[in-house]
Formats: sequence, C-alpha cells, structure tokens
Amino acid sequence: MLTRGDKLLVVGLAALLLLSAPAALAAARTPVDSVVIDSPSGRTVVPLHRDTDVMVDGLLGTATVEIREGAVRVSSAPCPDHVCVETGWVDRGGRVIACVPGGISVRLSSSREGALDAVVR
Amino acid sequence: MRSSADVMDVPAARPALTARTVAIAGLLAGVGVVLGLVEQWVGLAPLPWLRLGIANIVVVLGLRLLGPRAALGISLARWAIVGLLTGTLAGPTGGLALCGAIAAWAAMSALSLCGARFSVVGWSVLGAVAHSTAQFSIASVLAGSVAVLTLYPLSAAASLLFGLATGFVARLLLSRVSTVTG
Repeated sequence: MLTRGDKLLVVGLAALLLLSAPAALAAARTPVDSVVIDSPSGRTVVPLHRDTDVMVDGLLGTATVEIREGAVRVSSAPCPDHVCVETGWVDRGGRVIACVPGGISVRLSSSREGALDAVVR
Repeated sequence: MRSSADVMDVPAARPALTARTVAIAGLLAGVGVVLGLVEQWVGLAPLPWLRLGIANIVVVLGLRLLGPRAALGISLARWAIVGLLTGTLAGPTGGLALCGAIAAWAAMSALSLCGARFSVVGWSVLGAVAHSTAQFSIASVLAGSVAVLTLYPLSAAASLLFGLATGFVARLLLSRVSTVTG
C-alpha cells in the first residue's frame, strides 16, 4: 500500500494548494468593470460595459476578443489547440483566458487596479 | 495481491544499456505515444486546462523497471513523437510540453533515489504536480502576465488527484509485468 512517505507527500502538497486557494477565491469576489488584454504588443484596457470586438496581435497571428453584456471571450485565435476559445465566456474576476502559444492573456479587473483595496496583516 | 506487491518493491533497475533495456524502453515509449494521443482526444472540454496525465504512466514504469536515464529517454522520445504527430513540436505548445515532461521526470527521479521511502504512487503524484507547476510557470512568462497563475490552484489540485489515480494504475501494471521483464 501507500508508504508513509507517500502519505506525507500527498498531504503536504494538498496543504500547500489549500494555502493558495484563498487568493483565487478573493480574486473571484472582486467587482470588475474592465477587460485587461496582455499581448506581446503591450497591454490594452477596454471597458467591460461596452459591447465590442478587439483585435489582438499575438505571436502566431491575430486573435479576436469579444465583449458582450458584461462578459468576455476569445472568439477566434490562430493557435493550434484553441484552449483560449474553448474556455468560453468569462464574467468574473480571477478568471483568465490565456492563449499561451500566442502570448495573449485576457482577464477582468477593476479600473482601480494598482490602488490597494485593503491591507490584511 | 500482497505477494505481488512485495515482488514489486524489489529494485529492478539495471544501469547497463542492454538489448533488454532498449526493447522495454522502446515498448514503453510506444505505449506512451498512444496514451498521449488518446489524452488529446479525451480533453475535458469545459476545463481545457485539465489534463489526465495518463501518458506519465510509462515514465513511471520506465523509472521503476530501468532507472532514471532510460525514463528520461522514454519521456523525450514520447514528447518528440507526439509533437510531430500533432504538429506542435516546434511551437510554444511543444516547448511547454517539454518543460512539463522534464520537470515531472526530474521530480520523480529524485524521489526514486530515496529508495523504499516512496512508492510509485508517490512518484506519480509529485510528477503530476511538478508537471503542472512547471507549465504554469512557463506559461506566465510566455503570456507576460502572472494573471495566468490564478488557474494554477485548480489545475494543481486536479493533477494531484489524477497523479494518485495514474500512480495506482502504474502499480497495478507493475505487479503484472514483473513476470515478463524479470
């Protein structure tokens, strides 16, 4: 059966992951009002409330980021695996659409980004 | 059941590059290629970041039966052939896959050198988590943003569970193949 080392390893790894979970949960509860698109050509910030299509130049070609009714998705991408397109619509903070081969990432954020919301000690 | 598990815990590593080593490594690499392709089709659609990692079974088996060097060979051969077959070898996807494969191999080899303290299930779990950790690290560099890392806890937790599952499969297979390779 499992050795003592195996059990310690699994429990240790699970504990490490649990420690990182609160950060992800906090990000999901943050109110969002803008779309941040990072690509090799720089960062673009678009308001979330205006329906629009944004063309983004990545490493492999041009991807299309579609904003509709407070949600965002990558509607087309030149990458071979289309993980970003399959991710679908995102309408909460803390979720990321990433086209890793194209070097493009899309996320939702608050326009007050950079300012501290709170400091917890 | 008990007796086969005991047989499995006898170290079977042989460093010399014999015909037997080459044959078993080639067999495992071939099975790994098939498993890797199957895994691409099975892809869990709603959560594209999750991968089953079943192809890692052959690296675990190689590590157990032949030792770290042969396991690295199996892993690299598998990566190159799957990359050629899916057309992702030269692109960033191939680079990501390579980093994951090497990280998993390194982590599992390190555990295998600790002797009987860890079983193949432990190797498999650490290998799976190392795989996703390496891929997310590289991905956040490639995407130029740490935002990618918000998906990491979910992906790593999944790979922990999948690593356990594939580890038990590897253990089951080892208890069967020891009669063939012994």
